[in-house]
Amino acid sequence: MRNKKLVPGDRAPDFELPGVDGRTHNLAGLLKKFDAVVVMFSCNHCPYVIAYQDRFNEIQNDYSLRGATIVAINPNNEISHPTDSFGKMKERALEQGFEFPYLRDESQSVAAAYGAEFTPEVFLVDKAGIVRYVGRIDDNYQNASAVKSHDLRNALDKVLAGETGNFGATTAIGCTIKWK
Amino acid sequence: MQEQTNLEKVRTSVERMVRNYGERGPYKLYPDETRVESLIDGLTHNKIRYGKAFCPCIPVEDSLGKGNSNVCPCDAHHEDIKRDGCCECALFVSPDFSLRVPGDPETVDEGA
Repeated sequence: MRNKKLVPGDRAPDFELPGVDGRTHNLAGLLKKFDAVVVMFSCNHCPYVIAYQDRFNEIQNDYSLRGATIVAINPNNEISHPTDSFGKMKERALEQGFEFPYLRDESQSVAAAYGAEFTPEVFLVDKAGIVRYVGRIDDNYQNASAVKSHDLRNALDKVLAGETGNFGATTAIGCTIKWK
Repeated sequence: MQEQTNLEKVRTSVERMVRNYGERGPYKLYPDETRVESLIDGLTHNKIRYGKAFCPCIPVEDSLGKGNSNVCPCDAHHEDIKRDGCCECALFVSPDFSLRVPGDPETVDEGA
């Protein structure tokens, strides 16, 4: 059973998942440390994710200093997509120098609980555990320098400024999650 | 200017193929125009760069050397749509596919 996609204003379901760093991470724990958490469904194989990898790191670098973090979650079926296995995730995180947790959702239950459909797809959660923005990172996956609408950054700025509104839902552009 | 002209020409051709298949084929286009337009852009990019409109959701290195298998509409799209309701890129969907409306608290049984 997969839930309808969460929207701004919904409470973000907690999760507890293993990370490539050998630790178990949960949303509640991250929200104790950070004022905002970007729950980002991601993976290894998707060309859209690969196109965004540098931007993941840039966003993490820019916003970790301001009290926010990305947490990337890979829910893909590794049988149909072996490059999305936990072992390959560890390799990717090392290669790309991810400074944020990269977690494995083997049962796909977290992706289902969020109603996630694509990789990458983000759910921005504020300190109170409320979803404030859902969707894409920006409006140009092919060319970072041609981005006109920095949707995730704009929403992060508002959350970190203490605003409590709902900051929109956009269409995530990416690959479909590979369900079992 | 020549490059721009070629880009427009290729995009028009790719878009015509996509929309014709969505209208006359056995499936529908994904019911979100933003997504459809973005996928047409991705197909156009691959057509210009690699000579074939490879599925943008599959790494090109996996598509090269497989003939037209991963050229849109790809060989796998029938099976993908039968299994998941949409193709791997979520460009083409089954006739009864409906967008899961954000915020609806009801759950849907995807296996149904």
